[in-house]
Amino acid sequence: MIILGIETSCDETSAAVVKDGKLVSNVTTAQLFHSKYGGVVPELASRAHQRRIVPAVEEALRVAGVTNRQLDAVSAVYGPGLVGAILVGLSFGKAMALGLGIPFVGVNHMEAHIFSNLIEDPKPGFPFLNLTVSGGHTQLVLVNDAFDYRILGETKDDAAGEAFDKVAKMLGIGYPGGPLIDKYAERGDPRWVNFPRPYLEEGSLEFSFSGLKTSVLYYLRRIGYQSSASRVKSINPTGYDEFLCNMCASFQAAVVDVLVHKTLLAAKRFSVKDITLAGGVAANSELRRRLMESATNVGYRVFVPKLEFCTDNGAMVAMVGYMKTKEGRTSSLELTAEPSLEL
Amino acid sequence: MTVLGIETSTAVCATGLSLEGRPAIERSLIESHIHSEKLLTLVQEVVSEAGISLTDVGAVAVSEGPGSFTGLRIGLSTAKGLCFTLRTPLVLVPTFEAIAEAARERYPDISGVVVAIDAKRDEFYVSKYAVTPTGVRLVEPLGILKADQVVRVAEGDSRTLVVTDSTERVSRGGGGSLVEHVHQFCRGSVVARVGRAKALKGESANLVSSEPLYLKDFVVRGSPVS
Repeated sequence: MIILGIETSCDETSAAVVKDGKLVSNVTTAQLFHSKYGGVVPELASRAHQRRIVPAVEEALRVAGVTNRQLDAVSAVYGPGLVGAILVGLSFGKAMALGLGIPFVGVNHMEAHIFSNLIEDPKPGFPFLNLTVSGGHTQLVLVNDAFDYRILGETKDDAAGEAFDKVAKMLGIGYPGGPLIDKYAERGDPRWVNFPRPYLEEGSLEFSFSGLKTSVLYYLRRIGYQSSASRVKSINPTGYDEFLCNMCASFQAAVVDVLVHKTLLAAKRFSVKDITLAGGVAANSELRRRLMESATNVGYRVFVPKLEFCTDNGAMVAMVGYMKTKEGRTSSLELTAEPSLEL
Repeated sequence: MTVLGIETSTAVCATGLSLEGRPAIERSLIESHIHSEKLLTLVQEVVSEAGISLTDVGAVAVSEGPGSFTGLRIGLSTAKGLCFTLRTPLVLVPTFEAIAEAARERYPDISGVVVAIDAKRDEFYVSKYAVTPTGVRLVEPLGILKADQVVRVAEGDSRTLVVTDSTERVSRGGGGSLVEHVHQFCRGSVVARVGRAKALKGESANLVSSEPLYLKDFVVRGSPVS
């Protein structure tokens, strides 16, 4: 069974092919131009998908060594995400299915992130606990079985990735914030500033990163950062670099502490053996290292997807598409974009 | 050659077939926000009414704009998906040319058609076509004008028809021209017919790089998401 997966829910145009449950291609083009606006501009993202969708799908088929006509189903994300962006991949995918006379499978983007851990061996065993962390989401999910989920906790305000982007903006180091903060933090002292850890009430599995972001803002104001950054930079570049590294390490440590703490709490409460990590922030080296270390120390198995499966990708979509097609869970060609779709 | 036409530039979601030596077939719905849901159903309906298979379609013609960005996005992405799998040429039909052609079909006695579609911020996308016995010919190229300038383009000529999505605002400007609402002229079969003429002349579009005719450059205002 050969399935095509299409992902265009935000700023990555991606397509992939899964053949009998094995990934045979995954082609992703990131829209790097958004960095100059300090965030994803929805209209520009939608326009870029329109220019990139055919080459992405063509290349995914070519690398997989299959033709259109060998496909058994086409799957595409229908939410959550940016509506204009979703509509490009979804309309294209549905039209392909009609043109080929094969089933169409609509895929939930959040479900696809969870499946990014089921692409390669070794795979977690059900039930497992999944933490999805990205620019748009922070979610702890108990995965009882494929397509049987229970959301244990979500963010009440900013997603973890959003906090990274906003703090990077305050520091003036650029966009996207995640990889940049990660890079500076490698050389910094995480105890340099003791930012508050938003654990919320005792035992809570909910998240909140908005207050932490404000703490960083107040700290920067207190030391007069905005006004002196360029001066410090010009008279003491080494000191400035050290300052950025220490700030990034301190902020990142606060986020990672909370994510790891709540993940372990949930794992214990729901007696799972396996923990998975997913989403763009799963690419953060400190989060990967700390979760791996803390969880394995107390006997859990931790699964972290390869970097190309953390950020948005067609592979995870094709994988859900494959599982759903196998179970006959196909969609109507009248399926439309649902920007606020929940798991 | 059988050509499938797709028209999604306004609140009308329409499909049509232009067939060799047979009357045209078309389907349409007038409702905002249903295009993504209903477009392929309307494609299936015209194909089945014609008693043909999608694989008999020789080209897909899509109304390229100007118009609703979301509508155009759905229409073109769908057309690309069909062309990519059916291996047929993609033909881009200027939306206003198809509208003017539909107006000529309805009112053969008019001498000209001005198409004026709301471009927001008190502006209109406008172009003017002269009506000839065999078709329409562009005389005023596509531009962006203020509401009061639209009527000036029609020159108060009683044989010039103004087609718009804002009949009240345009009529208020005065002038002796007849003003009609655009929706009745957004027709899938006309897009198919105009597209067929282009396809027969070999005027197909690039499947990869084709984009809707947005006309307005997008200017980033306010904060982006995330």
